[in-house]
Amino acid sequence: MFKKFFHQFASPKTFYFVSQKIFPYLFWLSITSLIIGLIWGILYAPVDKVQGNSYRIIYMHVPASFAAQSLYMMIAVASFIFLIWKVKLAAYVVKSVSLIGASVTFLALISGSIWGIPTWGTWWQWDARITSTLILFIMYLGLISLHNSFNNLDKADKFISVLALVGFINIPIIKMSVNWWSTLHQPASITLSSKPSIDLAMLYPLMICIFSFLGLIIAIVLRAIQYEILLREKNKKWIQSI
Amino acid sequence: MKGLLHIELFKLFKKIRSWLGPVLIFTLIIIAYPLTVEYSTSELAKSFYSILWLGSLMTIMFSTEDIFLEDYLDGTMDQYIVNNISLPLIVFIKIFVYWLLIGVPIGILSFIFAIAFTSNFESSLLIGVISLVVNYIYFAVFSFGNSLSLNKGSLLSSLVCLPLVLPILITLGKFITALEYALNFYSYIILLLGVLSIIITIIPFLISFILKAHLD
Amino acid sequence: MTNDYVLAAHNIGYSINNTKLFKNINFEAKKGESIHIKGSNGSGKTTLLRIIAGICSSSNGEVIIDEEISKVMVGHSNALKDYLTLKENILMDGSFDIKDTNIFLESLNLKNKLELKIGSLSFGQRKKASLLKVFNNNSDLIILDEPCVGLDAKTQIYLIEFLKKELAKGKTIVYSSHIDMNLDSIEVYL
Repeated sequence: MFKKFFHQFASPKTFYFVSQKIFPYLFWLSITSLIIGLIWGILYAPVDKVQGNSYRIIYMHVPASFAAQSLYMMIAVASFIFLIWKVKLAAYVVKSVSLIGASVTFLALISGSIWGIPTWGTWWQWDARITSTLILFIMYLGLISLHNSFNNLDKADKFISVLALVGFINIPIIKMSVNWWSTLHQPASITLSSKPSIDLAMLYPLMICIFSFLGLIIAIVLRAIQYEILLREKNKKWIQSI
Repeated sequence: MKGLLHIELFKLFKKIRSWLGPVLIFTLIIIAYPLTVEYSTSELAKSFYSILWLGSLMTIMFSTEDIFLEDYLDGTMDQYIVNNISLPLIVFIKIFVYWLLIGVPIGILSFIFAIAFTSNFESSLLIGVISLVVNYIYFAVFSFGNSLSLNKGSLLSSLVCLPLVLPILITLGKFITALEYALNFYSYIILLLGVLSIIITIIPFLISFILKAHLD
Repeated sequence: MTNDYVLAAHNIGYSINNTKLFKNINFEAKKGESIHIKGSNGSGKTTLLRIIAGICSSSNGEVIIDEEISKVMVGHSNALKDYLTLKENILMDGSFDIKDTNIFLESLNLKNKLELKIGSLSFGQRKKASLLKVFNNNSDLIILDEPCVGLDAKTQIYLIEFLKKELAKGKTIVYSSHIDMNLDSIEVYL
C-alpha cells in the first residue's frame, strides 16, 4: 500500500510541480515572520538579568541548532524510505538536505561560539552540547563527501542512506555519552515536559524565530530537491518540455 | 566454513606487510610517546592510556584499508557470488581473521606496555582484555567504513567512521578513571561487551549489503 | 516458458544514472546450447554477463535460472592472488584438486610454473591460470567474458575444442568474444 502511495504521489514529476506552487508562499511567509521574530527579539524582548543583551543571539542560535537536528532526522526518514521502498525522490531528499544541514549546523556552531565570548569568556568550551554539534557537523560533511566520491549516483544514494541511518542510530548514543563525559552548558532552554526556564516575553519571539527559520529552511530544501530532480532526470521528456 | 576460515587466514598471513606492519606501527606510536614529553615516569603514566587507545584506533583504521578492496578488484568477490558463498559469512570471517592477526597482537602489546608504564600487573591484564574487545569493535566499524569507501581510499572511511567510535573512546576514558580510583569498573566492561555482541551480529549483514551494491 | 530451458532472459534492461545502457534483451538457452553476446565496446556485454551470473541485478526484466544449477564464470578480472604461487591459488579454489588439474596444466604449459608467484607470470599465463576453473568445472552453466583475449593461437584452439566437448556433454555456455569461436551459437546483439 505504501509503495503504491509513494509511487503515485512521490514521483519526481508531481513533486516538482507541487513544490513549484508551494515554494513562493512558504518562502515569503517564513522570511516575513523571521524578520518580525528577530526584530521583536532583538529590539523589544526584555534584557536578561545575568547575561545582559548578549543573550539575544539565541534568536539565531536556537533556531539554527533546532534545524540542524531536525534536518538530520529528515535525512534519516528519507534514507529509510529509500532503502525499504526504493523511492528515488527520497534519495534526492537525502542528497540535498545533507548540504543544507551542514550549512545550518555550521551556523549553529558559529553563533554559539560568538555567544560564548561574552558569556563564558571564551569562544570554545569542551562542553557536551558544543562537542556533539561539532560531531554532527562532521557527520554531515562525511555524508556529503561520501556521496561526492561516486560517479554512479545510484550506488552513491545507497551508501549515503546506509551511512545516514547508522549515524542516526548513533546520534543519541553520541549525545548521551558526551553528556556523560562532561557538561558545562546551561540546561536546554525549552523542554516539552517541564515549564520553560526563560521568561515568556523572551520565549514568544524565540518560538516565532524557530518555526519561521524552519519554514525558510524547508523552502530552501524544496528548491534544492527541485534542482536535484532537474539534474538527475534531465533525460526525461517532461523536464525537456519545461 | 572451516575451509573459508583457513583460506582467509592463509591469504592474510601471506601478506606479511598487511598484518605485521600495523602491529609494528602501533609499537612505534607507543615508543614515540615518551619521546615527546620530558622524561619523568609519573607524568608518563598519566596520559599513557589516551595514547594507547588512540594508537590502536589509528593503527586499525589504516590496517583495514584493503580488507575488501583486494577481493573486489581482482574479481574474487564476484566468484563468491557465482559460487553461492554467503557474503555475510565471508565478511564475518574476514573481520575475525584481521582481528586474530592484528587485533590480538595489539592487545598483547597493550598489556606489555601497560606493565611497562604503570607497573601494575592486575590492571594491565585488564587493559589487555579490554583492548582485545575494543579492537574487535574498531575492526568491525572501520570495515564498515572501508566497505562504504571501497576503492576510494581509507581517508574517506576514517572521516565517516571516527564519529561513530567516539562513544567507545568516552567509555574507555570512564573505565580508566574507575580503574584508577578503584571504583566499580565492571559495568563498563559489560557495556563494551554488549556493544561487541550487537556489532558482531549486525555488521556482517550491513557490510554485505554495501558490497553487493558496489558490485551492482 | 517450459522447464527445459536452463537460462531465460525476458526484457532485460540496465541503466546507469538514468541513462539506458541496453534494453529489451531476450534470449533462451537449453542444455547443450551456447549464446554469443555481441556488441561494440561499451555496449554492456560485461554487464549483461554479470547480470546472468547473478553478480549484479538488472534495472528491468528478469533472468530466470534454475536455482539448482551451478555456475562457473571467468571474467576480465581473474580472481588470482598475485602474492601467492599458482599452486596455492589452485588449492585455494576448493572446487577442484591438483591431481585432476595436472592434465590441463600440461596442455597449457603451466606445469613448470606451479611454484611461481602469480605476480611473476605474464598476462597470457594468468589468463590460462584463471581458465583452469573452466577446464576443471563440474558446473552446468559456463559464463565467459572475452575468454580468448591474451591467449596464443594454440591455446585458443584448445579452449574452443574443449568448449565443444562440454556442449556435447549437455552444458550451457554464455560468452562474449570478438573472435568467432565456431560454437554454432545463438547470437544476441546489444
